[in-house]
Amino acid sequence: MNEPVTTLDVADDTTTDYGFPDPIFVLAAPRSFSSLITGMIGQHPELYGMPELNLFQCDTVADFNSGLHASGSVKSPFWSIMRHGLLRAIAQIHGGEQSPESIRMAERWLSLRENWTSADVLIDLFSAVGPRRVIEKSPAILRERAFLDKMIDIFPGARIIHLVRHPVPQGKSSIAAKGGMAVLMSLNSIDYRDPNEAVLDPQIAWHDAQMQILAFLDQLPDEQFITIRGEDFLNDLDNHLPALCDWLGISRSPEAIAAMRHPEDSPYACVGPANARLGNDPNFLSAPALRETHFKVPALDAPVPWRTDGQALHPRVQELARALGYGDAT
Amino acid sequence: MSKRKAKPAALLVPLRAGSRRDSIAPEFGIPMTFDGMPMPMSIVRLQSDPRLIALSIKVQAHVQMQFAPTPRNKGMETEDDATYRTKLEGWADALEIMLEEVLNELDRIKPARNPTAEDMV
Repeated sequence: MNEPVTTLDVADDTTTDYGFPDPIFVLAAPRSFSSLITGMIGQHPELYGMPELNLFQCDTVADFNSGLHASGSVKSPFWSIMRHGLLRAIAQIHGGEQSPESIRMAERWLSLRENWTSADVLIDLFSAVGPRRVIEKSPAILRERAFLDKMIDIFPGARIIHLVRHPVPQGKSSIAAKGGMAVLMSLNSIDYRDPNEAVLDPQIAWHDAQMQILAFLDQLPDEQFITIRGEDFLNDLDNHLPALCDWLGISRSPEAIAAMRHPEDSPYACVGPANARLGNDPNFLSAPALRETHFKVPALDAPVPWRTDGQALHPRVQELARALGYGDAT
Repeated sequence: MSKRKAKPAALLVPLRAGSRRDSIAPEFGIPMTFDGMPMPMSIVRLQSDPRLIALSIKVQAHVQMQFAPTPRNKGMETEDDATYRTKLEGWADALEIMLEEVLNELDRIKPARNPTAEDMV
């Protein structure tokens, strides 16, 4: 479990105007190793890995509590469980534990601050864990460009990690995940070209998630973001973890690197109390430890396994995957 | 942006991946909104297309199967579940003991607080 750092080893020239270090945000399509990799990075002793806070989708705490857009429409059919991460973070940071009682305390904490903006809450939490630097990911931020813009408006110095996974294994994982087909349907990741049948096709969501991220990154300088191919990262931790530490300007000591190999040590890497059980991918929460394995990637032009017509990935998807560094099968 | 100059890390580079930034949705027949975004899924949209109704029935059946208790996971309890259950059972025991004590105490003081006619004689 993270303990407070005893020295102010966190670079003091990476601080926000709010007095705590610039946060790090991971942008990734679902099923792209984001829970595991964000969890690993968050175990660095100079960092603090948050659960999924889902605050950039809200203007105020009242929005967060109601789960409604200003128009009155529902933010997401899954909103009630999307609140769990913030509840767990408030309970842990301000209550010192995650228990049914501290989650109820977190609910009261939020209900008393309904006039706070989402930025107020983030600043409060990020200050509380300082000088550790926060790393966070909330995949639903990709639903709208405005959510990404809000993130960079609040934290203009944030470092961004664009995490990507090969579209074929990502698609297979999206379909196989518990509830994954319902998520794909809600994202309208559907091929309508056959007049007689609509078919789920995860490559649509993969492509448009990358497009959303890339279009957002266009406004940032090169120094502010990196692209990580999840398979390369996990296949070669010995080189990627120190390189990432260098990029973030944090220690690459053996102790720090060793801590990053244990995402399961995070207080959020487990199922939460009965009144806030999630805050991350349930598959990760039930088995958060790193299982070192070699991830292979298929050829981009091979038939995709979820289609019955033998088609390969759409040429634009192949082109984008190549531009993101995927080539031959391994 | 940070004033600290980022150290070169050849393994980790920013990729901008070309210049095209539009959605692929139209190429799969997904209708677009007036501002060029893929039409989001909605109940109205789902009910208006027989193909979507058929797909949603298929998806619903699959999801129900995924979440249905099976002989394998039925009654299976994780370590966290067990810890929480033990805690709840502990609270229940403590509450039961306290309740019993309160009821006993009430029984003891009841005659004094609500004397019967016989007591008042």
